Amino acid sequence: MSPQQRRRPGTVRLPPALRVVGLVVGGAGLTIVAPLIYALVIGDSIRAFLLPFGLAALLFLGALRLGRRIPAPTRRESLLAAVLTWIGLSLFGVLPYVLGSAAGGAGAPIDAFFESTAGFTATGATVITELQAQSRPLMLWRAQTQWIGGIGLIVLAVIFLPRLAVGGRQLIETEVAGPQLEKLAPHLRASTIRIVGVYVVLTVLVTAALIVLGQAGLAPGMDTFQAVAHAFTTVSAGGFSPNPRSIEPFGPWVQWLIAIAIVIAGTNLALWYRAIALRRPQSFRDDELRWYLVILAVACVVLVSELAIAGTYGVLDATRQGVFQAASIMTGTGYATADFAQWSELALGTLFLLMFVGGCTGSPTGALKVMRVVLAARVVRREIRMTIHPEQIRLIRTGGRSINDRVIHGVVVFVLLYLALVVISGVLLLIDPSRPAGLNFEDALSAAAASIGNVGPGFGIVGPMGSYAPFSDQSKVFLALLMVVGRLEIFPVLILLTSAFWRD
Amino acid sequence: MSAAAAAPPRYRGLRVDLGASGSLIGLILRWLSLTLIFPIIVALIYGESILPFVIPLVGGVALGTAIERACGRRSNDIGVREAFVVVAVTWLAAALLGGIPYLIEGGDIASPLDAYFESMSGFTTTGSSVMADIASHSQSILFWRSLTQWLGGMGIIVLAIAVLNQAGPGGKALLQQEAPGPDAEKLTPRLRDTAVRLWIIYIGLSVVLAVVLYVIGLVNGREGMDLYGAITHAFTTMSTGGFSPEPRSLEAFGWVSQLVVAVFMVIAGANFALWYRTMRGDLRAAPRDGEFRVYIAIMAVLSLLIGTALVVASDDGWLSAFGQSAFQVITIMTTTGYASQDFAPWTAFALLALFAAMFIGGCAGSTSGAIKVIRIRLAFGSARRDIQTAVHPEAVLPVRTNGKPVREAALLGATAFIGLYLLTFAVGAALILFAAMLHGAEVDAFDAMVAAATTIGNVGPGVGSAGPMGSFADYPAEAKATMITLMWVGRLELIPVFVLLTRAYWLR
Repeated sequence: MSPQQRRRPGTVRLPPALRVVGLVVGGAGLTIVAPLIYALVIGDSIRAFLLPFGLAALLFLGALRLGRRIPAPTRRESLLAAVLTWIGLSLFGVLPYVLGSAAGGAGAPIDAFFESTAGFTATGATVITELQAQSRPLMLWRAQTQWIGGIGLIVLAVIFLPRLAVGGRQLIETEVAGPQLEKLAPHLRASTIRIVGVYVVLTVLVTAALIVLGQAGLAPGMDTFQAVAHAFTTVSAGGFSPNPRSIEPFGPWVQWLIAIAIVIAGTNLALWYRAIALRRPQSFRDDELRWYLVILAVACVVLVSELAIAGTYGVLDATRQGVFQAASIMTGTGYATADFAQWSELALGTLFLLMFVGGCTGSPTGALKVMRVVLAARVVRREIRMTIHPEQIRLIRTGGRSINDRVIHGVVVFVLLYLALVVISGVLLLIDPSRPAGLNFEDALSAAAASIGNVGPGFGIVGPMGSYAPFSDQSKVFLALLMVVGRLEIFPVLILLTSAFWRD
Repeated sequence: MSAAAAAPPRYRGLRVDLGASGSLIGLILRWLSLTLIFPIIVALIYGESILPFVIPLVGGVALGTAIERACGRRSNDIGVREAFVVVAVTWLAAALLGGIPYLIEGGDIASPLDAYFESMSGFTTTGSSVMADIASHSQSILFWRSLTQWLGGMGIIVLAIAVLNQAGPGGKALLQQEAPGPDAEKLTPRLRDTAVRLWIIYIGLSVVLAVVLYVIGLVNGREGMDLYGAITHAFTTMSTGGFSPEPRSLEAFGWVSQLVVAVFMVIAGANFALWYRTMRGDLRAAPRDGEFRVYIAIMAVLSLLIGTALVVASDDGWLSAFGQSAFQVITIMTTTGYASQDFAPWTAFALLALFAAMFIGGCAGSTSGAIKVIRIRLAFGSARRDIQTAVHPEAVLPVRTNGKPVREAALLGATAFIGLYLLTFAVGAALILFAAMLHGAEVDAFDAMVAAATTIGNVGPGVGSAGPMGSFADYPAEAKATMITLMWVGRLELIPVFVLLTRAYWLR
């Protein structure tokens, strides 16, 4: 396509964007048929799922039929569509909670919005205080939202954000993974399908392994429902669990298994496709993967030794708890094997730092991503070196390729923007006049970081065994929006707020 | 050293000429010791002991000369590479020398670490104190404390270049590494002239301030300052240091003195090159400057926000509330750190806004610390550009300051600096917190974060027991050591210190 033939970027039109939103929200909404059937099978009430199912069908078919004459969205319109899709999904997800929550659940509309957003963004923060009182089909839907959100993320990360060319994403996907992705499949769309394929296979494997452990009697209480629900939220790095004490009761076998699955979910899933389906194991020699494992290993060593020395646990338990929490928090999963809010400040500080790192690009995890952290560190190193030899030009490399300065710049700006957003949000939570009693600065910061990084639990009152229920309504909406902003990697939302976006 | 005549004697594999570096450090140390004459004069006037100053004076001159001799008097051989180690070590050594008077006087500064803390806080113009009871110290000691800030404000190496004209080819690098901000602006083509002029403006402004404060004191009587107070406060205002010989800091004086001090803090937090041009007749130099305008705008917005919060939260009159908030914002943002009121009981919002102001700092080329307005502007500019290019992918948009496009490398440098600054701050805060936990000190995470921010930004006061009317005396030794390091690293703007930690700097 020559530049002349391309559409002139005009003003942003709503219909093409809304059509995409309708298709995606409707399509994702149709999957509510799963908890619907499950409810029928176990003889539970289907009230919570019937209406949303009808609405999803209406949306999907409406967008499909009415939208046939609507032109495909332009670059800017697809940007608008991406932001609206996430908000639309979260709004759609409100319905089942409002209709089907028991006492102590997320029945109030604001609570339902929070829970739904935490689901679709795979954050895993919750306002439900009485998890055991909620119906199983609803809990399946809750886990399922995270799994769907995970697919959305992969699509976002592989197709959408690279085209936007902000926050250094262009490098992360097109410059580095790009040429290899080209070989992997001729079109981005195809490669997305393949990465989603890895995601699905991983889910099936985790489910099967959990069921086997349950059958073998190594995991008390692990039935098929629990296996599916936990597989959904493990692979998506989401972290919702239908149990009030998360995965603590299942015992060490399940916890080790899930720890491994989480670490895999935090890697670039394209690597697995290349390594296994294309039989190219050398693709594991990846710069980002190496640093991901190094950071994780260092964090594990710090946590395990701290827990063992402080005498919180014996050496064996300390190893399990430390490794699990490091992996769970770094990838933004947020499962708990223990109430880590009770751990020492050194352990908490380590976990707090991990919240910012996130997993690899091309994974369903949130936060900064290892690639950006590594590149930002390399920039700082280069700045220091260039002070000695100002005339020397040094290139920043990853995986043997040098990277354009503009891209590097985008990475550094993104990191700073991310940190600024966390701090400002923490302050805003703290100055909310109806904030929960006893909310201190660290708790507020951790809540902001856990929401923006899509981790889930924070420290103090929002710890792994606690909930976000004590927050005021305005703070809950604010936190839910932060999850969306963090999910979309900040820039798309900022771009929508500029006048240049809406003008010609 | 037989090879000294032919070629510089370098240790095998070492890329840094330690001899020349040591020689210059010795030279600066020797001359710096002579400034102890001033507190001796004050001590003689007030009839106090001159011993605390005579010992370091004699010792400093002797040690400086000895180092210089041992290194072979080659201070002219300084190259770009040597500049880093000279700047870093000179500041450590100056603080060591400046701490001796506190140690000899004794009182509530008991340990060498406390003396080093107070002295480093002086030279780096931080203004954090470990003196639990300021009133118990002699006038001459408090004079020395203020003088160290004044000397450190414009920079002891800039002073050395101005006085000694001895820097050699590495002089520009020396100036560059010590001067605040990303680029040291050259006022004149000749390096020594630039250094001399900077110091002349600095001295001139300090004299004007001291005279004005003294005259106000004459007119106002008990609410104003005597000559001693006028001089010491001029020292610590122009250097954005913030030490005051008054236990209640500026609260002890009337609003006229506070207003004058506030105006001069704003002047000291702006680029001195602007004042140079203003004195040369370009009266619109400051108002036209982009960085200066943003600097003023940030202060205005923060003052309004905090003032409103104070009006809402307390039953103070609005004049007093906005006056207090403006003074606090100016004193924290210019990294001075005077107190006009104990802000510790202020609302959480006001405290957090002041905490944020600690990171901003003044303009490049000023005596202030922290990140500096120009870097924050550049970071914002590039974030805005990234957003614009996402909408218009074809557009080529340079980030501009004062109408001129900024080099991409400078943009990257500014953002990377902010990142490194925040990282250093976070590590520092964590270390302070661990030290406090280890000793069971009453320091929570927020206190530790403020302590780290206030020292790396060279601001001064903390919160809690270390509030504007308190001191850091209760902090454990490891926390104090961390804070000393942060002050030093912050004053030199990180890079010269971090460079010394790389292998590439030292070895071939």
